[in-house]
Amino acid sequence: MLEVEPQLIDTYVRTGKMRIIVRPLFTTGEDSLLAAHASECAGEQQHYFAMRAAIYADQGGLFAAESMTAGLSQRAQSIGLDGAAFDSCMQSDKYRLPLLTGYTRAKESGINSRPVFEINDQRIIGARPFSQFADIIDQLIP
Amino acid sequence: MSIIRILGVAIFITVLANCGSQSVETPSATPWPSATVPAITPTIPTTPTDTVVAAVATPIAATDTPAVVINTADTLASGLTPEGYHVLGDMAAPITFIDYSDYF
Repeated sequence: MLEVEPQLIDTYVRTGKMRIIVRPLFTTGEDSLLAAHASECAGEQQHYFAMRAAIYADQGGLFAAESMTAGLSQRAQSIGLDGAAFDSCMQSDKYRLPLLTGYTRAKESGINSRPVFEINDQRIIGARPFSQFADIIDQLIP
Repeated sequence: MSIIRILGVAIFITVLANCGSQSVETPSATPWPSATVPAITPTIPTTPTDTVVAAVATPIAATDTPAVVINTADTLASGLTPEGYHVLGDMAAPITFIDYSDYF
């Protein structure tokens, strides 16, 4: 999705034809939950999507860091966030429950693997190249 | 006397010439020049190697700041759904793309 999402954004979101809603899953456990929490904390500083992109862009660097929390803090600072506010948000753990609730709802709606996409009411299971998404989206544009 | 002086000068010049030729031959007869060359040779690749390392380090640093991806997302409208999920783009857009994915 790292390669495809920027193309979707440039082609359909930037032109006002489509909006993207993020529903994070945590099939890989605690590290993934921490990353989602970090994006929520970045969202408090209006940089949710920037943090999400930064996490996707350097996953190797995150796992090479002293700890996942330390690596996420470094990413936050690299995109210009207030480090103290970000760290305080992370320590609060306040988004953990809402994130887990969202994950439970996703599973209850039949999301049992990753990634899964829904374009309007059409569910697509598994990663796809941009061209396949474009074929579906172009048919839905009024 | 003049002949003696001339002979004296000639002998002096001959001695000097011999001394000069000895001083020139001494280094060329020794192995020092050939020993110096291999000493220099290993130092030549050292500098290019350092340059290559520096060049490799630059893109690694660049990957720490994926500015293009960040700018793409941050220049667009964003918000939250009533359920609290993050939305990128116009909330009134005709197509909704929901991304269920893991971070790792």
